[in-house]
Amino acid sequence: MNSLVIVNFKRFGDIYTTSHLIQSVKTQNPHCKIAMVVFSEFEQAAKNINGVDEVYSISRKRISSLLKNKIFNNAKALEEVHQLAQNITRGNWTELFNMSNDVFGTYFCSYLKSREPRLTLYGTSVNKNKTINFSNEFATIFNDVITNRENSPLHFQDCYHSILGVTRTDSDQKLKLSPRYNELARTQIQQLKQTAGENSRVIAIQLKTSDVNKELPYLTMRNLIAFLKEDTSIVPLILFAPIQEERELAARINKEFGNSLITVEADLAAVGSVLNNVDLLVTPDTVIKHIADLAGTKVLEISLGPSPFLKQGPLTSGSAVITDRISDRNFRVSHYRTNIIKTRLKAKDVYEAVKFIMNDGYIPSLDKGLSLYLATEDSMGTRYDIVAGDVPWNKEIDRIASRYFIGQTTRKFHLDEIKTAISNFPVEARKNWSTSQKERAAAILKDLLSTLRMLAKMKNNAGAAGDFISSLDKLLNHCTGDDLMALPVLFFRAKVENIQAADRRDSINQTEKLLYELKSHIQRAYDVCKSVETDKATTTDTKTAVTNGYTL
Amino acid sequence: MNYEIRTSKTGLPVPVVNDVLLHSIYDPQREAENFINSNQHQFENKRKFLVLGLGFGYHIARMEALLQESKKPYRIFVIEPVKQVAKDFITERPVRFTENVTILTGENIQEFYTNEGLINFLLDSPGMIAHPASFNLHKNFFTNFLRYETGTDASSMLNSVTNESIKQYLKDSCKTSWGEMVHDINLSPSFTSPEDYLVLALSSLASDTGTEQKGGL
Repeated sequence: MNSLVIVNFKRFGDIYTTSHLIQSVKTQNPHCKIAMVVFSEFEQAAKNINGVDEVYSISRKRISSLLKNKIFNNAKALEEVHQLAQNITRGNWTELFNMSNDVFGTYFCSYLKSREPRLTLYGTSVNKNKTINFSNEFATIFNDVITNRENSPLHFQDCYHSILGVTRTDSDQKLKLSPRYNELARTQIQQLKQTAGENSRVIAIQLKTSDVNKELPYLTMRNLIAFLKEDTSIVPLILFAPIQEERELAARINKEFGNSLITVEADLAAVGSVLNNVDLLVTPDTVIKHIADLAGTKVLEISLGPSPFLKQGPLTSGSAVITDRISDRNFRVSHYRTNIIKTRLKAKDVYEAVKFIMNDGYIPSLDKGLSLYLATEDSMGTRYDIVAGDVPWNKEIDRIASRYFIGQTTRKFHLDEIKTAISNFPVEARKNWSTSQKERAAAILKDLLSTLRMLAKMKNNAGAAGDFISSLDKLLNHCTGDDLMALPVLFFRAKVENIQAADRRDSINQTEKLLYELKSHIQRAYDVCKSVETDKATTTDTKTAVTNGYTL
Repeated sequence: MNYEIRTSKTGLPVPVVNDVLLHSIYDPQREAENFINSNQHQFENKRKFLVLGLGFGYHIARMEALLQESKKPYRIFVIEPVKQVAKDFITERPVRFTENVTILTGENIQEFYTNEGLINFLLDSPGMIAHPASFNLHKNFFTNFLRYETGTDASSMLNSVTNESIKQYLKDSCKTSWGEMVHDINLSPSFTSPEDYLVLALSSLASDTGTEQKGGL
């Protein structure tokens, strides 16, 4: 890899987390030049990432105004985006990654590729004939699986790495820290620990996010701080950003504790130094969570409301995510325009999760309807295993089984790697899930064989094309399920829609080949069902595996 | 149009248009100070202002004095429909502006909106201050200025860009309007020009779906 442009038209959190990928690329390709393309609102965040040689930006606000305000002309917006693209192509970059994977970013990357055909494009793009191209299976997974499923089998970061074909690498260069701030934070936090006792831990608590629906209710937050404050082994440290709303909230909470809390006002440039020196961060889904991750600090993520679940969770091993049972959550942002957030999470549950992270062997006791997941590692990257609480087994088994299938399809991935995850699944639940998936497999195979028959008919009779297309459509409808069996069909669809054939005969041959590949993938998914269902090492029942059990 | 310049009690020149005094005939500077003070809330968050009406600039000088207090950069654009007023202001120089103030004058509203500097300024969502005497005197002009809508037709689009390859693309692809062009690209089985990608990219941004992480492209 000589030089890489990463297009990322996302917000702060996503910009910061690009650092994971950039450090991996730099470790494996030390001479690779890297540029980022971002909205100018986040330009400074991109510039703060180690290893970024150049940042191209365009103002989203300005482009939106040009497009939406009738005193301006859309053509002007076109001219400005064109100018951005020209600036990028002048850089003679060799590789391009569509990390945005949204409509704007995908068309923009496709434009760059059409202007500079020598660019190698990673991720999703649209070709001249308006079909979607995926650079590999992981680009398909990213576009069709993990962005659509409520509980993703893969972490975004691992998917990004696999799209680009680089291995995730640990590095202490992920976060650009100011030596002065870092030393100041280190000294002060050390002093706090010395005062509190030898084995004390400093736990930072992030109060706010940009979305009130992702936050703990005020009383829960206050009670959590009370629990932490009462625990003599813990020093709670209240984090807030230098904006009026957060200052007022921190002051309000502090007042309830007789102004005895340690509060830290830190902007994005300084907060990394604080997080680099604490033992744990307790936070809702916010950019601060990602910065802690870059610092290698453990995180307890409180996942509420529309926060993406297990997709961009904490990466540092030993971190955890506490949530309402996934089947009780609503992830649609639009839902919260008319509904207030409902959560069963209480301060005591979060405190239990804190104790679980901080103390080896501690078995947390959560209230009904809550789940606790632990970040762990396998050869595909970060995996979240359920460690306590209530679990919707079907979704959970499917998540881990889908991961196993993706691992088997794309690399050498052994059942042993997910044994600890599936050992939590009760035998009966595994059997139920497997039965439903096998029924799905049978239905897909039936439609697949019908499609193969129609294809054979079409070989000798061009008039049978209509029947073939109908049967192919029926087969592709199986993509719609958000389960294991949808995966082989999604992979098939991505390939069949992009057949580049010399003539009709070539097209038929390639389609036939892909249909047989689908058949073998269905067989593989079927084998995954059997493995998960019958694995002898996994005979534990609900009560021993998960603290509170589960009501089937 | 009747136009003359009178002198206030404090000795400062005051323009009079169609018998309307654009500033106080007693003390224009005191009047400007009161006016700006009564709009103080507007200056708390913004550093860019569009002023409707120049007169002889007493209110703008006062604005500058206030904005300079915080020592942060600021910018002011002034719209004055009567060229003679602007011309006499420059001749008389009753107050002086810094280089942060730009005066645009003329009666052709469309021409204002071809001014690149003004467009860039307006894109930053400036605050707006209407000089009461000027605004009331030229109510129609300023109302039309504020309600101006650029055309989405092909010729308006061509006029608003300078890049030659974009001009050529619009000539080739935009037969009637932006909306029609987007429609044509969507209906076409393939892209005929690379710029088609950018049009669809912008179209997604306009509908606010462009950067949602939804997948399923």
